[in-house]
Amino acid sequence: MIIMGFSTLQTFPLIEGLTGPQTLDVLHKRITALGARVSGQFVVDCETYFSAPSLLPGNSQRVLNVLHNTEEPASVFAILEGGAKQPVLVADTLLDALLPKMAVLYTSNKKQTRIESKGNRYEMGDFVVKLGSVTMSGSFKGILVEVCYLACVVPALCWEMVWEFMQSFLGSTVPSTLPPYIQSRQNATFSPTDTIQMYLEKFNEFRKQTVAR
Amino acid sequence: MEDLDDSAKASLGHSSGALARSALRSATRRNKHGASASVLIYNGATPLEVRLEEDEEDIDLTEYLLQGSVLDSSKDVLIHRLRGLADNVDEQVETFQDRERVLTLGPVSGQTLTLYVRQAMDVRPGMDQSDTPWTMRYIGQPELGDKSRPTVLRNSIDVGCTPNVLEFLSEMGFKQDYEFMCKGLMFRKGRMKILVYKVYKNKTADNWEPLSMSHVVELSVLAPQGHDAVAEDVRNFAEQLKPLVQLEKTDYRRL
Repeated sequence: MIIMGFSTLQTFPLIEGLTGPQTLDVLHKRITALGARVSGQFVVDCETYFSAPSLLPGNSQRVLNVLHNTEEPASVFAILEGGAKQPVLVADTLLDALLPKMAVLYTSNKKQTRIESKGNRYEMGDFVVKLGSVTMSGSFKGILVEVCYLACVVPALCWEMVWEFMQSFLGSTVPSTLPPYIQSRQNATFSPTDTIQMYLEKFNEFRKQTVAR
Repeated sequence: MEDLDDSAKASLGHSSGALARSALRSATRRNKHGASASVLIYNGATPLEVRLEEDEEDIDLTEYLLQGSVLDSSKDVLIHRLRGLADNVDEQVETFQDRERVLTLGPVSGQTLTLYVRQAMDVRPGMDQSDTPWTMRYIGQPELGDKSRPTVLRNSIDVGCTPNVLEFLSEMGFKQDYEFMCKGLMFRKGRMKILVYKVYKNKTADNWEPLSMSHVVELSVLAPQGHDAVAEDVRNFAEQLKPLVQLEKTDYRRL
């Protein structure tokens, strides 16, 4: 079964007076009331490595982000930031075995450790919804909601419908315009690397926050 | 083997890949992930749990290797013998053609990292050049051991990746040292892989010339760490090729 489709990602702000887990509970109740069923757990995680200062000319730095997504269990995504381009490499899981070999050249910073979004995966007809609790070294940072529509790969063609669906359980927190990352690609085929790029954007936002919203 | 220049000497240190070869290797791995992962999803467990269960010992990371060479004029006799000894060669013998680039990163605090990026050049019918597999290979220091160890042991990590790997690695800071092309045949016997190939170098762009008048012969097995018994199988097979080609542990320090 090839699972392809279009995904959109957004943060869900904590409900007034409730903690993170309690907010997730409210969302769980809303979505199961709509008829979704839990189909397991998902994890999207990201580890970051920084190039050694003397590695590149002009003392410029590159940041290597290595992400895993349980939706693509046999793949590892690597995104390089800091240069003119931001290439995404998709490799098989042995890439994880290769990373310790470059430990001196690309080190992981003690402060920017692993960040992950973890939670339940719900299926409802052609939609897959993932309600993730974002944590960084054990501390809760926020809630990320990913909604995939499996039947279409072109964002422009199904955004309206996905937006309506999201409103039905997320309420008015859903912006009516496409996420900025997708805006420039709305007529192109969507692929899992686009989902991962959006996750990285959100993770970087969470990292800059000091307190959970 | 005496007149080879530096790049050829280094090239003897690693085997090249082919479409079928990477598939053979990755098929074993994928069956641990791919097949079992999909079965488990239907049973209610998730890919996450599959990943957590997988332990390092199951991954084939060690290569047991023997190398030798045969003059072009005697190559056909060797191929004949291999066709008889190897598995499944009723149809066409499998050929491969790979272009391998050697990239290094560093040095930082005295450490450098060398990666071999291999691109399959033989385009099968129904596939275009942009679809061919690329692999990134890390090869560790070879361990020769003493007389009782039948083969060279070295760490080998082969990562399949998307074709933008060269752009990605050069953004990371890798620089290309040199490149070469390998063209030849591949045989399989059980877990063993036997390669007979010729190395080509390009002095000018796209002008590939053979490096020497012989073919390199390699016998290797990829196995998890500590499975030294497979080295015995490699040595026994090498005995059967004895009069035609002398396969031995190459001492890289003496090259």
